[in-house]
Amino acid sequence: MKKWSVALLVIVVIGAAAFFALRVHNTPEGMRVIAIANLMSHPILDTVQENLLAELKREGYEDGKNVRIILRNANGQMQVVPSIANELVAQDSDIIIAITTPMSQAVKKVAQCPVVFGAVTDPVGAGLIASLDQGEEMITGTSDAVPYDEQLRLIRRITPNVKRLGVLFNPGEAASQYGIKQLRKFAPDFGFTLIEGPVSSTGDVYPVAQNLAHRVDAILISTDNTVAAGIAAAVKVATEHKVPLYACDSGSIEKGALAAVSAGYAQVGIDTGKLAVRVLKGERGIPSVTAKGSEVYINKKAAEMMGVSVPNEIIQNATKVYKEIKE
Amino acid sequence: MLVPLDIGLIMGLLLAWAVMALALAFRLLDFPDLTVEGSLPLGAAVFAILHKSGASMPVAMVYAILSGGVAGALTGFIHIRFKLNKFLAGIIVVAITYSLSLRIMGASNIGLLQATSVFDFVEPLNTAFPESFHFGTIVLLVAFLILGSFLILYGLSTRYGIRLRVAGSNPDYAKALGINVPMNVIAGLAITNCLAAFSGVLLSMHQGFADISMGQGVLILALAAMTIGERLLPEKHLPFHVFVLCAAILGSIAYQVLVAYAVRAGLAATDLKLATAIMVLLVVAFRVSRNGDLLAEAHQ
Amino acid sequence: MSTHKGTIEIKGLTVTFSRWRQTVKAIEGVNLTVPAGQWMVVVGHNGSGKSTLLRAISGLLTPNGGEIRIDGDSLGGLSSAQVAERVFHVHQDPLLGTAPTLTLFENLFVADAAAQNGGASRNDLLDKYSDLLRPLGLADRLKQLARYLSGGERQLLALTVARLRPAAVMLLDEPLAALDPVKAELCLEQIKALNDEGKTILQVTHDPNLAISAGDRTLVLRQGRFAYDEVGDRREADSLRKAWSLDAGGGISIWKK
Repeated sequence: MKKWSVALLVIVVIGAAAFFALRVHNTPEGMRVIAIANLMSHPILDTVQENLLAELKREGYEDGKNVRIILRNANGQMQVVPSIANELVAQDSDIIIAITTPMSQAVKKVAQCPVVFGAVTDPVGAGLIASLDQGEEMITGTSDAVPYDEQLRLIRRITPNVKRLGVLFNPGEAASQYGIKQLRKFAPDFGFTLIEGPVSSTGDVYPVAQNLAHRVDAILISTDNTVAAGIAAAVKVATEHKVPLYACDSGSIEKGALAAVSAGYAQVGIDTGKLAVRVLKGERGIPSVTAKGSEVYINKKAAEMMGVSVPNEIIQNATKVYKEIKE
Repeated sequence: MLVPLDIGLIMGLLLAWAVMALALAFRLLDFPDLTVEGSLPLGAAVFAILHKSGASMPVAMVYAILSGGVAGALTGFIHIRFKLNKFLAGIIVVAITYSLSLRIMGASNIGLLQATSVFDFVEPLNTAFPESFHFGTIVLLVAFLILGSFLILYGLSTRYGIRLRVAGSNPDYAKALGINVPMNVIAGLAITNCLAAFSGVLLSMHQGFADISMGQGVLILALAAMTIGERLLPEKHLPFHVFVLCAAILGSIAYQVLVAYAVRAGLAATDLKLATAIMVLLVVAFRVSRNGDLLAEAHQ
Repeated sequence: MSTHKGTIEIKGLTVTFSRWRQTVKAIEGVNLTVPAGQWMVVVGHNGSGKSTLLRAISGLLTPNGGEIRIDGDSLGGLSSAQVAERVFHVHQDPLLGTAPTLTLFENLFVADAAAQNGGASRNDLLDKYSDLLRPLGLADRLKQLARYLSGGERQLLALTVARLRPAAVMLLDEPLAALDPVKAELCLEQIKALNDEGKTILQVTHDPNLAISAGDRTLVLRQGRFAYDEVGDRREADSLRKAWSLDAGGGISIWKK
């Protein structure tokens, strides 16, 4: 009886392994391999990945046609990150494109091929590159550092009477650590008093936003994976209390935040794709790129619901104006 | 086809320390210790910041391991001194270590890409073999585990170790024998969380960074690995503490190899969790009659 | 294990429990002296205070009044480790008296203060413990986990543990209650062996025959007070039965004729 069950177990495990093995596609002869590693799935990172793929396609790199593109996503599970990095290296990739800070670090640690990172806020601080100005042989990429001074200027222009500005952010994320320091630096210049609302999980977004709404004149959400995943809760609170809700990325505006000067995550994806193409064509030593941040996004519907009238001049110059809130 | 085996083996050996921490606390001390989720990133954080700011690698490692011990002792202390539920005590300490790790690091992520690591010493061994086989890394990690297991098992067989196990196995009996049960629980948790912190140190060295969210999901992973190991290992001929320790190591490796094969198959991240969950269930279901009643009693 | 140790002196002991604002007196101001080496059988109805008395002597609960002295030292002034050196408590439930996930050897070793302090070799200890367990039929199971023993075997192990303790006072709370007759007889022999080694024994039982035949002295507890206290041959069935009020059940006799 026992032996029987052991045998069955072995069969099941071997069967499962075989099933997985069959699913593994081997790269056809002569095809180059582009590996893309992403940390998790949410609006900002999805935007980056989609635009990255689109850019590759535009340049003629299409999965199954002339290259093989391997996509891997850790779904936010940190313990899978090194496994994915090692796996992509073992696939004999010609280039590995890593999205987010931890993924880029893990890939750089083991990679034997050129690496392009994307959406890393502070690549120097993360130890990926020595300096932003100088190119390196095996690694380059894009930084999504938000121009926080521009962001504060926009808030001042749309809502001139705001004094206390609440900030929703997760101190556990590198991008927000960077962001909150920048905000603390620039806020006095524009006459804002910062009220910080730290959250540690997506579930915290609603209560912390509620709490902020009573104490501040406007709320800003930083470029934060945690808050981005809970944007709907923040929008709900903002419309209920008629508090203007600002963000730092276009994805959040589409989902109901009022306005943003964005690093333009679509642009981050495109820039990352462009770098990847240059690397694939054999170029080395390319300096890293910081996203250009003059893109202004407005959501008219959100403005209406939060009781804010956006000056016409801003609307006319905006990169994109959304008229609906995407659920 | 053997590449996932290599990756899974290495990840399993790295995380085996955390699985051991959970299993020893759970089975030998009868303490379902959530602290592991906090002491692992705390160890990584302390190591990263000390090593980055100039401390030598061994020194940074020692302090990192001790920091985990302090977190574990704190959980035990809170549980005993304030008579707080074991789970709640763990949750509180995990919350404390989260903020503490952030404070210590001053950022949520510290890169260790240029820093020296224990794996530098075995790099020549790695390059001597084909690219996809990290012989040196595996040998080093196995050596660490053998040394660590030997120390732990030796410690548990001394009179202090036996008292510790009696205190965990039957506190009433321990008390009747004049054993200080609270002190033993605190000491035991300190030791197991040292192991978890060591796991964090090794992970951060191996992956090239310490991140505040490194601990997230470790508990579930460790529980699953522990369960698999206990069902795979024949229990009857081993002393209980040897069984618990070996099962943790075996389970950690088996679980990570499964994960590596699932990753290789390109399963979507969401399916990955389902796939590993089904694997765990299968292993458990097929071995249900074996150690079930022993382990049921062990945590009564 | 010297014979002159193990004197219990109890003066004015009172233990009360508060439950839902009602105060129940479990023990009401009793005085008792048990000389070293005496084997005392304690009987009484459920709730009469037997277990409470034992728990108070083993330091598991703090009395509300009065004093307990063991060999002249007040219990209140001793640390729990010091109490454990003087008193050992065997529970009614066989599962409470041993550690299930340790081997028999480890269970015995951890109780054996002498072995832990002295440098006796493992082989010497194995011989010593085998000798202790041989009459019980457990000698070849030293390396097994205690959990693989049956309930009765575990109680035998618990009493063997008691024989290794340095404590001069043994408190046995119905140790035979859950055992089959053969195991009960083996356990009784262990208790006799303990007494022969000079230990003071307080044994709680519900067995009327033990109450009259076993040990040197019988004590009946009734509603927290002593209703009967006689030694040796002066114990006789009729007065014991009266004090115990065993005839309440409509003339059903449970005495062996």
